[in-house]
Amino acid sequence: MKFNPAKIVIYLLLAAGAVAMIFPFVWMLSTSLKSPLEVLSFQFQIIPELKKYATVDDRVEQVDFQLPVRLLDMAADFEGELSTRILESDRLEGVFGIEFTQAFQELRVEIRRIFRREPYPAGYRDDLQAAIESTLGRLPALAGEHLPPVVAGELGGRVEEFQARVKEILPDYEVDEINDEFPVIFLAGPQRGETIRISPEELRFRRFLWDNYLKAWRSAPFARYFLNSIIMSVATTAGTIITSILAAYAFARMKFRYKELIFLVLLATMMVPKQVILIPNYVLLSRLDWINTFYALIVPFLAAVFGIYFMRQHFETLPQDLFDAASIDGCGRLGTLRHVVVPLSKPVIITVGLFTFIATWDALLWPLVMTNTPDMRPLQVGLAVFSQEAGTEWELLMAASTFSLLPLLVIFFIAQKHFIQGIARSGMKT
Amino acid sequence: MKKNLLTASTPYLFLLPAAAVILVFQLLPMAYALYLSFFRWDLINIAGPQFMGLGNYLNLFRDADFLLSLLNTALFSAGSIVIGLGLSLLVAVLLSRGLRGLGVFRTAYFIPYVASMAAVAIVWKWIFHPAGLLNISFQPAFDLASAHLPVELGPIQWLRSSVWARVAVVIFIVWKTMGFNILIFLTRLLDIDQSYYEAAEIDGAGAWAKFRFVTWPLLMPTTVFLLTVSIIFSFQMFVPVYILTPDGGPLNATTTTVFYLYQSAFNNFLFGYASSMAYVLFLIILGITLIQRRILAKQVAYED
Repeated sequence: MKFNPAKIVIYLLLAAGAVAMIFPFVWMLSTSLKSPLEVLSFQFQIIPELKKYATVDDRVEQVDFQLPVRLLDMAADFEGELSTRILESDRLEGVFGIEFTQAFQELRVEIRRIFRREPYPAGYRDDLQAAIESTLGRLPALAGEHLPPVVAGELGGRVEEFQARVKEILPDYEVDEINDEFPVIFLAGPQRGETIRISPEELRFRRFLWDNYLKAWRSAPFARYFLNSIIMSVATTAGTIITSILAAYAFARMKFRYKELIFLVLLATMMVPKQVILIPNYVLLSRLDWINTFYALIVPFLAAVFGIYFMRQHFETLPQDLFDAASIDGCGRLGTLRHVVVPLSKPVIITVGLFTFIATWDALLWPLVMTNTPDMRPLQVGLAVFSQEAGTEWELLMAASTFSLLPLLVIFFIAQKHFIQGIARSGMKT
Repeated sequence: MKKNLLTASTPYLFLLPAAAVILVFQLLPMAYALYLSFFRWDLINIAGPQFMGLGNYLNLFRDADFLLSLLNTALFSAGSIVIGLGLSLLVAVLLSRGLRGLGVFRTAYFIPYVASMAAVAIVWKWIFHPAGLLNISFQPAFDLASAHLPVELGPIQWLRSSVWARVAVVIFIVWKTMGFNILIFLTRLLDIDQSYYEAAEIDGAGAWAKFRFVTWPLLMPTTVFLLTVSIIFSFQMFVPVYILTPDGGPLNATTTTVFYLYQSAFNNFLFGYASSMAYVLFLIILGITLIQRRILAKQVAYED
């Protein structure tokens, strides 16, 4: 191969793009193996690594490098919380909300500045104290100008909560209330000149926390979720294949009245978004008393127009001689279907099955609406609920995402050819 | 005679299972949704459904939240089309250059598309976290800017500011759907007859001219198809928003029409109102599909 600089540039561009597409998965795996401390350490660390720090007197201790992140998160939370409250009280000018937000944003910038480097600079606690004090110190003045007493009091409560939480994570600081309306935090106790130096190499080591997977698996009934998803997807796929083969066979190989009209009506339903029939189906399934049962998850999807359409197209290409021969051999309609049509249609059946399985496995809105207890939730709903409950335990969420991703990825790699051809064909309709 | 009757009904027996399911769970519900959309029906309302005529529809267009949801949907469509289709076309054109390792690249770009939506949305929620991958990656740039410019740039609040939350959703959609777009573009590109390019070369066309006057016009139907698919995807989008911003985003900045429909129907139990929303959604999607058909029909006529 001759050397071609343009080709190299193309390769580099494509490779960069491919890395960008794949990297979220790498980061997911990396996070899933980290400790909660490292997860929030704000470090670009792909291979999980446990860091230990030594103080000057050689006492080995682990520095809480989650601290700045927790402070940042807290400041952001309170900013949101307080400005929402300000916006909600209609007697206030918008300017106040903006100033308020700014105060907290400046606090966040300051926190970032202090913790930018590891090891944290000497006297970082003094700086932190000054930053928090100055933010909270500005609030009463702001409030005095703009806030009616009732709202000010309420906000005061929120600021107290902020202080209490700062104290929680900075136990050696003292909260001193000097003002009824807006108590200002006073931080005490940082040792001046305190130095922390980074540990020698032997104090850093790699550690994969495989335990996270077990923890995640156990923190929600994932085994049940998987089982539900498997039951739902397998039953729907099997049913769809059978009903589609039967219907497509009738359309492709039989003559009957209103054939084209019926087919057109079926095709027209493909244009209807699933969300349109969600509410009436909810009403219908409630009347049938099927809500929160497998019936509600499976029965409405036991037929798929796209399956009928795909299969009809294929069945029409089969040579008539085969059918004549089968009929001479005494095969009935069903016999011909079983012994002639199906064996010759494996690829199209696999494609329809594959797409039905994936769509069912990945459905979220429908099962979210149609189930209401954990034991009936399929995996996607279970995972979504888990993400709302597990909130900030990102290492567990990433572990759960990893094992939830596996089934479809495995199926994709096994059936990649069918899959890619099927999708490419969907674009050919144009 | 009896046998004849049986033979005549055979096709209908074959049709029956599929037709019954589609009739009961698709066609009738469609009619029922239309019926519901003319009623005020709150579920909690003991008096039962109240006929409203077109009232629900008129209210929809006075409902600021609904209009915002349409705006958000339009923004997501626009963002994902401009960025997503542009990048996809670029990658597809590069991939179509007869490279080695085409399969590996294609798989790499395609994996996000086949990955479970809920799981990857959670992964991106973590990437968009204030202490997440994106902010970690941007921090050196922020530091540099802060050091040399009179502004302090800090971590971006991706999912907490109404502007950035929308950007985040667009980034996610682009990443998730790019594999599909690339595959469709690539399939069409590889189908293009090489003789067109040879003819263009004889006429002295450079790489850009070949793209502009051969590839681009031949790709037009595919582009229109993908454009339609992207818009419809945005109009039906629910899961990414539900996972990334479970409350619909700061000031409802990421509330799509389907998300608003879900909230109205299953949080506030406004079944009639939500049904009218569903019908508006249906009409929009139908309209987009018809426009696509129209454009493609013209295109074909033009090419003949």
